[in-house]
Amino acid sequence: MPSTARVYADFTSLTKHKPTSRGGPIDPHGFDASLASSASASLSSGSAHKDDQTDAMLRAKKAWEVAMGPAKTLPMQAFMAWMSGTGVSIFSILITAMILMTPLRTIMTVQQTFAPLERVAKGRPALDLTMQKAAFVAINIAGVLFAVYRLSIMGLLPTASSDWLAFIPAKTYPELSF
Amino acid sequence: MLGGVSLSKVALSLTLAIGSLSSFAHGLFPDEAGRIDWHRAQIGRPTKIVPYAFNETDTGLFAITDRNTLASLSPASGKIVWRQTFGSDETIKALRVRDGRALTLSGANETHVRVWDAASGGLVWGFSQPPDANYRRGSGAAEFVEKSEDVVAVVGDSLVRLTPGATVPVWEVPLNATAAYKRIVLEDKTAFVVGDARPTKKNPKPRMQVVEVDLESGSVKQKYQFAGGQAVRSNRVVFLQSREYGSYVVWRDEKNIVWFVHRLGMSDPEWEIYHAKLVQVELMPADMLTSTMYEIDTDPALNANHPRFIMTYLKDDKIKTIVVEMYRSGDKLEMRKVAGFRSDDAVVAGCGISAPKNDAANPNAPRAVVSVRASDDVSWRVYTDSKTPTHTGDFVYSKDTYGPVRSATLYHVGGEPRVLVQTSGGLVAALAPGSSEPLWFRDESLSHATDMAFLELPPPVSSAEYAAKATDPSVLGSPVTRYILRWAESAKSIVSWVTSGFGFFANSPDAVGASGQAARTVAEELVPASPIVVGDHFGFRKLSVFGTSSGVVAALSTQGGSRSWTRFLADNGTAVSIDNVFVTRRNQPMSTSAPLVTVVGRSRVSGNTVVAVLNALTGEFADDSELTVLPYSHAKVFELPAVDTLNNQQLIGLVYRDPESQTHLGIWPSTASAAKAFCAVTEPVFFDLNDGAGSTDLRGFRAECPASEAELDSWAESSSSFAASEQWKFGLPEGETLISTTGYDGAQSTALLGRVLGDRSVLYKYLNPHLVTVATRIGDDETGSRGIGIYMIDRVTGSLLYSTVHANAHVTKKQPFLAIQSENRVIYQFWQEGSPATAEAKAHSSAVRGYVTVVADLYESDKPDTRDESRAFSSYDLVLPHVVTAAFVAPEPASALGVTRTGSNISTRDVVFGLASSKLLSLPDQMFDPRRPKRAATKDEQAEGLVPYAAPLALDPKRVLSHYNAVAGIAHIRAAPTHLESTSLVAAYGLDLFFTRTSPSGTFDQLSPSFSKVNLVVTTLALAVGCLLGGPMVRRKLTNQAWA
Repeated sequence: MPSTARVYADFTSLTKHKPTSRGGPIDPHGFDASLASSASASLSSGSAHKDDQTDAMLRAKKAWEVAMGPAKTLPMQAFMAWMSGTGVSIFSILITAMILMTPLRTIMTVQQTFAPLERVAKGRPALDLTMQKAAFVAINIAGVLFAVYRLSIMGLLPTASSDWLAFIPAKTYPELSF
Repeated sequence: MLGGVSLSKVALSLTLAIGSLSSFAHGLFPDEAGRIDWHRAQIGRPTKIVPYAFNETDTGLFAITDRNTLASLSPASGKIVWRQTFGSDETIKALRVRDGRALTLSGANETHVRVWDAASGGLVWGFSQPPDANYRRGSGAAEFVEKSEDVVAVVGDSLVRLTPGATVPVWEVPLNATAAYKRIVLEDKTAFVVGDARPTKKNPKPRMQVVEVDLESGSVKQKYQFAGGQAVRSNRVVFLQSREYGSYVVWRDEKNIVWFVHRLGMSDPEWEIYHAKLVQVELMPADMLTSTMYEIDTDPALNANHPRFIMTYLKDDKIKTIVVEMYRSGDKLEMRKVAGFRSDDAVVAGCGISAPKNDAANPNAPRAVVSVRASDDVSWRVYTDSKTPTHTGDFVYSKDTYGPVRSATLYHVGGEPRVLVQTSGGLVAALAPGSSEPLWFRDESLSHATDMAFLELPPPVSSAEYAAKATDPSVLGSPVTRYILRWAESAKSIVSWVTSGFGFFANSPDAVGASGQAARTVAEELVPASPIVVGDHFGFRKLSVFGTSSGVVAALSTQGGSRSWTRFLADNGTAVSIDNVFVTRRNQPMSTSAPLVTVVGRSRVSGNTVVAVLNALTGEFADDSELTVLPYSHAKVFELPAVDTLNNQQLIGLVYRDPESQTHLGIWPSTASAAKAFCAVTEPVFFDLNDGAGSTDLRGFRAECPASEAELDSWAESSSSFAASEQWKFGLPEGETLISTTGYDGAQSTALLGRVLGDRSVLYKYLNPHLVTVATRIGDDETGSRGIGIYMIDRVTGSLLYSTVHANAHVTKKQPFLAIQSENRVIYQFWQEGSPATAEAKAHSSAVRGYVTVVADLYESDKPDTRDESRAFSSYDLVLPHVVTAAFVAPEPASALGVTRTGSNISTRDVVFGLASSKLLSLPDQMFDPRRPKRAATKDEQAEGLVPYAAPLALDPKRVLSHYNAVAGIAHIRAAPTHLESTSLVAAYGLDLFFTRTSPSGTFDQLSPSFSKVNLVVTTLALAVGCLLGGPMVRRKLTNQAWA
């Protein structure tokens, strides 16, 4: 009787077994070491000028996006302001304070906001984002102005004569009568 | 470390909790009615008190008073059972009580006869006689007709018989203005009306006129005159009425020793009796000439068969009093002495007679006479039919407090005699035999209050502070030390509060104050042993110092009304009439010099000005001074903004005219140092002067200081003065006479100089301290044209700032003109007749008939944000105000106007009306805003808080400050600030006294009554416990985290 030969597929052996010399872990399935090494080489040492330009352009574009960010919130704030009304109440005051304080705080942090985009690499000059920053500040100033306008229509700005009434000195009377 | 932090936090929170408990805030809430306010109902000084027995056990005391009030008093307590207040011009001339009915006759020309139910005070029936051109001043009398409910009365110029339920008299006899009839004597079928005959050219001597009228038909039987030289009301004339013998008049001629006895209705000449024979007592002519006679009861039912009178005379410098009875022996009329007694050095201040029971059927009921000796202490004796008094008693009391005794009345409670003594100061005290303390007393002095001043009292100092002050006063120089001492005291009170069961079993502070007053005995309340010298932390408890026209100056606590002191001021034994009270030295912290009040009045003897400076805390004369009578009579008096440095006393200015009609300004204290202090004032002093109601012009003057110092150095006590030069004269237009002038009441403070409008612009207020509102009467009743003229003038220059005319308005005693100035607002009220008679008048005024309240607001300009920029307001730079006015219809007639006052004037003000219906009503200032739009309010106007105009002023019952109290006869309303900006003290006086406090803008600076201090403490403690428990847990957790 011929002996029954055991037939089985060893899937682990379908790929070539190429143990590393160091006996380290096997590369993951589908990993092409050559491709990986070539790509890393192009990033680290690929000094193509065209790549630099693209990066700067992308950064500038990103910076414009950041700069225009507050402008998108303005309509929302205006809507909130409209909803809260011009009466002097705790909500309208809170919302107005928020509308006023948010752009002010943002203006204070303009350098930190753009710092990650400005920094290119060690030893390389920082990217010039002056225009973006200016736009960013301008938009936030518009937010502040909107808040101030709101304060004025709420009557919270001391612009009327009645606001200074308490500080007017009383008259003196150079005569006495009884 | 952590534990340390949490412990200090606990300590802090505990401190806060204790701190919140250390002071109790008082608030004004509806449930506090009667606790924060007090009311004292008064009747005035009785002119006649009639005891009346309803039955064997029940007696009533009926009084008519000089404040036109009829009152029934409880004989046991003196409390008012009921009272009826008559009009201010309705003097009550007669009171009779019989058969459970009280009869009054009141009024002058327009006479009212009213019969009241004596038990309830309800009106049973009444009769009014319209004014009569023939009316003789002083005329008026009324009597019940015996065995009938009818009344015979002298009304206007007629004698009438009135019957209940009839609107017209049964009969009416015109008296033709022949006399001022003051007495009616009734016999069975005849009425005699006796009066002082009108002097004629032929017969100018006073004498009495009698008209004899048939009681049934009203026909005049005869008219005749008798008793030359005599007047009906004289202490040499008595009327004796006897059922058996008829009615007699007994009199003695002045400076003569002959007695005359006249039987009314007899045409025969009078009997003449020589002195010795009259009362069967040996009288020397000299004794006779000093003799006076008193009627002891004019009630014919009581006099019965043997009428009596009292005669006093001076014998060997001793006053003797005898009781005389009239009787008939055979056909001869005789007088005999019933009782007699010597009064040594004493004065019989009064006498009276009454039986324990008013029993007309028992003519022989015992009757008694009371003699009051009123030299130092008051002692009294009751005599019936013998020389020995049946009852005696005394009354320890100082004449310096309420003045000397002026009359006495005897009444009985359960058969026991009671003596009612009245002093000229207005005290009515009930005395019982064998007790030197009064059973009760009524202090009616303040029903004549003319002026009042608030005196701030220092806040209570802790006993620790007291102790420190006593031992080492220098310790208290440091505020830190004082603060620590106060904390220590607060901690102590917390401990006692906790140990006393958290105050649940103790009375609230207000209740203690109220019961503290009740706890005083009658004698202590009459003469308080210790005056009130300490106030409270909030300035609610002040002293209100009253000056009265009865000569009494009295200080009452504004809280609860308990009396601090009383002083009676008299010039030569006659009460002075006090017009003004000024606080001339305030309570100063840490100062040893006492506060002072200066009272200014008039002597009734000479008419001259009197001044007294009293210690405001004790009522004693300050620094051994005494009442000073100045050599002039002042026309105007005011506080000067200068302080005499010598005794730290504020100056009082007294304006007077000398016999040459020159105007002068005197000052008090009238010393050289005071004169120098006055002349050191840099601003010139102006004042205006007029001759009172009815004058036709006003004048303005300026006080001049002498040019040389030497003149000031030689300033003589009480006779020197400053000259005043006339600056201006404001002549009223033809046909107009002055009603009144109204200026500002004291110094004004203003929180805001302008009025903020809805668009946030400002209308600047016209604040002129020299503004005077002058009201004039236009035309007279005869021509039919009536009106009120209003002139706002400047007191410095006399320039006219604004004027207006209210046609068809008129002012009478019943419909007075009231005005008040406050800040830049002038409010006045008057009566306006309905539809004007003429077309011209119609064009001028609306046809509203009623009380009209006019409000005028003065602004610097009609344009917002426009103002006079100069820093100084001089009247010489004439700036005319822009005046905005509005008129409202007042719901009820008012008798007084006032405005609330707070410390900084930040709270809004309330306008307080004293209503004729005995209410005190406070209405918010905003209601009187002349800017209220006469259409729907625009957005800006809404923002300004303006509600659309409505002519009627709503009488909101919630705004009646006096709530259930009937505050009768309010004549003055005063307000004073407290230490809480929200709260103002309000005092109303006139006949009654009413004090309360009010918060026009709400009690924004006080905790609400629902605020639970217990909750606060419990929460704080719970948090502290939480911190203590949570601390170790947090620490353990942190340690574990560090180890992980």
